[in-house]
Amino acid sequence: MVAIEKAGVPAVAITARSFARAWQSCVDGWGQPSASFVTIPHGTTGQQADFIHRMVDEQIDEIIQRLTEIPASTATARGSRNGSNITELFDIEMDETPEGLDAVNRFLAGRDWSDGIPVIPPTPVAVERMMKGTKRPPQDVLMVMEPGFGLATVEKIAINAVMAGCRPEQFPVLLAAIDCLAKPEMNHRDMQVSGHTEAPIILVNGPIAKKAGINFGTTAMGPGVINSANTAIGRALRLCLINIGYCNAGAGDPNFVGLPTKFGMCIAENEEVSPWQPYHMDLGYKREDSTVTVVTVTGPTTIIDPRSKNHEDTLNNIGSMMFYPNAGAGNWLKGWDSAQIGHTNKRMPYQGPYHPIILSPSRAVIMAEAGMSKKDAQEWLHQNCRVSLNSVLSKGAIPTDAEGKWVHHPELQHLSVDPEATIPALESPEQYLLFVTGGSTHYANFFYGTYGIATTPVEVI
Amino acid sequence: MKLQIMSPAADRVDYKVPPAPRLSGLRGKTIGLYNNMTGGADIAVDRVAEHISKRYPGVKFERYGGDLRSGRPSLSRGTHIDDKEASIIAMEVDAMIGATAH
Repeated sequence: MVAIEKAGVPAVAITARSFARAWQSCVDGWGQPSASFVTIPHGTTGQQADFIHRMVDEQIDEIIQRLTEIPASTATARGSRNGSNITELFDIEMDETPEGLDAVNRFLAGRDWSDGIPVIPPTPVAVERMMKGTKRPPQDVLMVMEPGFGLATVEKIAINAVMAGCRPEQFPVLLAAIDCLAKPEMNHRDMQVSGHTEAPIILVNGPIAKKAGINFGTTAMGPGVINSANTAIGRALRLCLINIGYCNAGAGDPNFVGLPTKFGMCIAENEEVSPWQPYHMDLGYKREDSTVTVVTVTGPTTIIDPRSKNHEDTLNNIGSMMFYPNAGAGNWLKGWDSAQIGHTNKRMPYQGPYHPIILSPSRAVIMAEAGMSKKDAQEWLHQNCRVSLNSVLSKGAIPTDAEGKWVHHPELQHLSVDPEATIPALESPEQYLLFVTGGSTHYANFFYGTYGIATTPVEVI
Repeated sequence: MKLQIMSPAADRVDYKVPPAPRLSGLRGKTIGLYNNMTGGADIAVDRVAEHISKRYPGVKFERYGGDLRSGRPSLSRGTHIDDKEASIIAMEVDAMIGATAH
């Protein structure tokens, strides 16, 4: 609606009350804290018309009034807008009392500069040590992070990395993850401000995994000392999203209930045990290259697969857990969504979603022993995970040209008269992102991809 | 003892968009109704239109969201109103009421 106001047209939006802080946070970032919105008690999705009418009726006077009066801004100043390259320093009084030991955390929590868990104090010495993990200058801006439009400098990222418990050898992985977020196809704005419960997962390939101490075996996505690198890198990205992107819980981040995975997810492929070439080689990188891929996902759903007798049983089992009605399968018929690019407010189409399937090496071996390449497995899922075309058509119009032809997939339009017709749930096989890792047993974890995906090489130090 | 720490909060791009001038009244105006194609948003803005029509007979409405105009983007939550589309909409309506459904 800020784009409409910018064009000179007064606007007012109606949104659910639980989105009020998120709305204010976004319009603050967009430079128009007074942008009008009126809240209703609940979201309207799935509600009966009569219920929606009652909610709107209660607010109608205010909705109309907002077209004739500019409301006072309710924005609250937060964060630094000092416009200089000098990072603010704070002196914190500490002592041996329980309160004194926790003084840094209390200070940070008071400014909403934390994920809620105690952090390592980001002292200048600790940050300087973190900077030894990169050759990039401290004031290099990797991206402008939304919704707060914060400048993601190498130094600010290093400060957050210290807080998360990262070590310098892990810093290049975090920087590469931010490089991924900077790509338009990552669509990081939607990832940050959506009401969906979703989080970035960091997938690491290549020699950097060992160098950074990332576990790619048993328990790698869970707690434990052997997973400290995974935990710290994932957590550092979340702290950056909060402190650089200003995506604070309940404000920029309006997830309906949040996700435990939002604290952080980072895992490397188990390239030593996988029977297939690693993911980054699918993209054209060399085995000795190191890459980071970030995908926005919800989930995971664990797929338990102890009774499968062969590779098709396993794939069937995985496929059966992936899609459910009314959640977007087959939406590719309507064309690609668009990412929104910063204050320029331009649109850029991107292909989505990608669904990471964290496959135990044992399950990959079952397929490989049956003669299946990774590509074969992806093709199998693409062909067999299908959705009724009728169900897709019943959930919104397919864009058509002036002659009524489908704009995006006219070759499939003839199927629309066939009530039995089905289409693949996803547009292409590659969208089943098979990532072999963890202990070798009868499980897989399926993550439902939501917004974007991007891959970038990791800096060699 | 004192411990010195560095601020983890980023400097922000200071960007300002002044609010558009408000209408002196709704009589004779054309109001845009935007729904972002999430469930029930269309019902919400249509309800607003019902109320306005009763209070201000003669007000016209233009609907946005979905595949409504040939040659124009099929606006939705995923295909938002960008500056180019906003400038076209500005020639079609005097004010806009939008709804997001979540």
